[in-house]
Amino acid sequence: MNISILLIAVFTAMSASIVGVFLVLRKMSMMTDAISHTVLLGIVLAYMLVHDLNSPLLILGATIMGVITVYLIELIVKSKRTSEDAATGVVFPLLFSIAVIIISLRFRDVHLDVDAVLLGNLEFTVFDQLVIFGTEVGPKALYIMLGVLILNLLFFIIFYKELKIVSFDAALAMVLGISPVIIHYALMFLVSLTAVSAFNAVGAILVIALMVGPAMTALLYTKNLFSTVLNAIIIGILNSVVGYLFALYFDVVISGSIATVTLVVFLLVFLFNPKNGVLFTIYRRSRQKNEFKLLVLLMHIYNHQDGGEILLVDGVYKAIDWNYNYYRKYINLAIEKEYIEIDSNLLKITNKGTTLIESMLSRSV
Amino acid sequence: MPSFIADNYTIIIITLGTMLLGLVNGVLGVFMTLKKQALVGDALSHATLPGVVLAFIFTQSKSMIVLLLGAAISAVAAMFILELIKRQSKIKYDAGLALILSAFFGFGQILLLVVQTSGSAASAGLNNFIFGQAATMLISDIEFIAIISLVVLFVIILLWKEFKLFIFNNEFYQSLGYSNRITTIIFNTLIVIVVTISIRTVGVILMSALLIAPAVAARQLSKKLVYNTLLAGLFGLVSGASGAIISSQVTNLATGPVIVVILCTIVLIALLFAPKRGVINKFIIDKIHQIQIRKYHNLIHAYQENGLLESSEDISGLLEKGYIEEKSNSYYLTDVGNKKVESIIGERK
Amino acid sequence: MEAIRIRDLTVSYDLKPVLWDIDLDIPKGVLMAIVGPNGAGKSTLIKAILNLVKPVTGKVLFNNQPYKKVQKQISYVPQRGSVDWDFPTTVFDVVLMGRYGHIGWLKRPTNKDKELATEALEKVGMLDFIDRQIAELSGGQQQRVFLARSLVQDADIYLLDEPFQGVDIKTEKAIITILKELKEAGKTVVVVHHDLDTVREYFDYVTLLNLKVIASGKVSEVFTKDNLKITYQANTLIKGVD
Repeated sequence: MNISILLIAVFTAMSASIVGVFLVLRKMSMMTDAISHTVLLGIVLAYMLVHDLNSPLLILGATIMGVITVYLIELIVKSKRTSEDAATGVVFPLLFSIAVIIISLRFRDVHLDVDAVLLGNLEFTVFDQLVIFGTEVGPKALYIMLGVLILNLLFFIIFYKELKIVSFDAALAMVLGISPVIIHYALMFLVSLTAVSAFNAVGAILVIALMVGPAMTALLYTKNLFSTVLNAIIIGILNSVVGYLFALYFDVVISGSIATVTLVVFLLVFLFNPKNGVLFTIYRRSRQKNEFKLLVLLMHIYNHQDGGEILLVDGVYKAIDWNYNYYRKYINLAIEKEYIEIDSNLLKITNKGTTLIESMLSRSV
Repeated sequence: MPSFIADNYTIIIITLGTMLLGLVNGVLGVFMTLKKQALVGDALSHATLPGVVLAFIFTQSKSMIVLLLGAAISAVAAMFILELIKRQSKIKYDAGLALILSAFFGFGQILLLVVQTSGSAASAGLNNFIFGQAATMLISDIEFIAIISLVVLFVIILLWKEFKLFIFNNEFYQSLGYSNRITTIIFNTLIVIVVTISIRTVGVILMSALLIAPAVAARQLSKKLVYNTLLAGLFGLVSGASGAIISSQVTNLATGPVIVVILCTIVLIALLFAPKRGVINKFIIDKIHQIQIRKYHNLIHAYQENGLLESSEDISGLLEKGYIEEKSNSYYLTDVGNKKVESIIGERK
Repeated sequence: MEAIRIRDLTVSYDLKPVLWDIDLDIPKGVLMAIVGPNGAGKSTLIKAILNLVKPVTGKVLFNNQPYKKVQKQISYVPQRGSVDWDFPTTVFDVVLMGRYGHIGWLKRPTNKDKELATEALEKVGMLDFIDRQIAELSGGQQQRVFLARSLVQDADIYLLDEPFQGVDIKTEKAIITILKELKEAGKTVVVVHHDLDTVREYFDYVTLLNLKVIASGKVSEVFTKDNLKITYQANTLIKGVD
């Protein structure tokens, strides 16, 4: 168990969660897919300028390329000639392909490992240490991710109000003097920066899960923006810790493990969350169905109070098209609950039943 | 065998294969894009990784059929989760796509590194998965791809009008008596099939371009679904072929990226220069239109004011061209003049 | 025999009722409006009639027969907003789609189908636009195309969901003229309508709906201020309370 590796994973997850929430809310999740692929071109172009693999310019170039990607996609969408998802699906493969072609043709020998960019290598981050005054103080990646995390946190805290308004009501934002465009591109810049910095740890493809997963999970049970971000961060931490431990125990790759755990956690909450998890909903439905069917039956009787014959005990089920036994079960239930009574073979609604129906009516409209 | 074919055997095989894939992806992509499921191909292609590796783990075989089956099962599982998520409208569908894409791929990455104990072999495997493995296609692979592609195309043609209405106006489609459920299952199955046969050749990253780019380009050029589809298929076919040929001529150049660049160039040309719709064409037409309006603004004004020309710098010029005539000391629009104005601003409604 | 006979129809979304125990008779050969506030269940009623949503209880019968048997005789005109009009297809194509029900799985449209489509386009005054891309149409033109698509089905019952929403006056008049002609020809036409001001002018029958049927019948008889008050005021649905 290596604390620095764990911390890198946790910081990465936290940074990703913060920006991820806004991406998900604004239906820009696939933008992360696009950005995380096109940054390769940014790295390549920056490298062509400085010829130094360790230059921070590479990170800058990659980040800017990410922002350019967003800009290009939106440019195409604004021209109204195609939909947003289609524009995304064209722009990022193009930029990525250009990067790959340049690498193949010009930089075969350079150790610009596409794999490393796409898949990351958390385990190796310890080998690239930050050296201050001759002592190794920890992996560079650790400090980079910490820096990104602080940056994202600051952005979130300082611009919380603006982010909130811009995310939910861009028009209102403009009226209030907040430029949605600036906030938008600032956010995209951070998304890009986070993605690029995270390559070390988890690589391009898995950063997507880190950004989107915890946000999706949190949104299953909370609507409040602040609460969503907070929960997303916590879930992000959870996912990375569990993923890391899992990877340690089963001796598998850490990044893939974290991504998998992210999905699993989401599915668990999706199915089992007491508020609206799928399984709970099914369970609650079947219980409520009883009450509901009873209500439907009562409603029918209530409505047809003044038409004598059609409330024959043995006739009503045909009218509402229910199976006879099924119908009998509810009749008995209704009698038991004193909502109806049988009077010379006719069903009659009681006062108790009438009160129930009328309270239902005034509530449901 | 003629020596030409023998010498270039590999290239010809690869070209044939990528051509067919380009064709079938282009055609299906039109429908997927219209159905707003453009990026599903991207998500599904990433999601096939675990299935492929698991298939290998269980069968220890690298035969195309086995791996394809694994890929298909994995893709179906992903699709299933996606449909589940879609039904809960609270969760955004695109977020689901992104998560599935990434997590399934991550899981696949775990499996792959379990299988290949040495780092470089695993890396090579992943590399091939990501970028495609066109270079190692065999004639049997082509035959397989060809048969499947034909079947898919056949189904699309057969169910043409059904898919068209199904996507255009789903409620109306159902009201005519068609089953939404069955149609959806057939459609999704086609997607899974096409994605799985394409993965090995073009790789994961480029899957979405192969499906979407031809459709985007075709849409700029045609207003009928039939032509859209034919064009998209054509673009895919041509890009596939030329991509394969070009990349074979240059050492160390993978096929996939070249195909994508060619495709996207076509898209760019279509976006800019499509007759009427193209950005540049529209710009030029608009400019000409503006110039015309400015040049003949007096005529236009006259048209709107019962034909009486109020004043103009170029009376003689207008007279010469027959747009106006003199009547009792004033100038009026002629029929020719009327037609001229209408050609600029459209007919009076 | 009523064209449409609805009994005890309850439809709910997520256990929240949208239609509560609806009894409704729609006689043959009428031109009926369905009015009510937003969210009152009007569209849902149409969809329930068409079997597009599954009811909790109740039945819908057409001349005493279940939906499946008479599907071909019912034509549905959905809301314009339910379609993405950027779809690459022409006006003619859309109208032709109305024949798909008659054509069936796998088969192709015949010349007869195409003739019917052309005739329908002429009827709604859109023949000049026959080859136009639907993305270029105005709201009113789109609605006419939808109507033409409906006409080619040559149905007995027509169900239209908000056909006058967002269309110009000329189109509105054209549509209502055609609907009146359909009625004269003995067809049954049911229209979800949002503009109370035109009910008297356009329709002979009306149903006031808000979760339940408040009133249904001849416009001259049931389209009263009192009934409207009950329909549009949320909490006065309770029997006997005014």
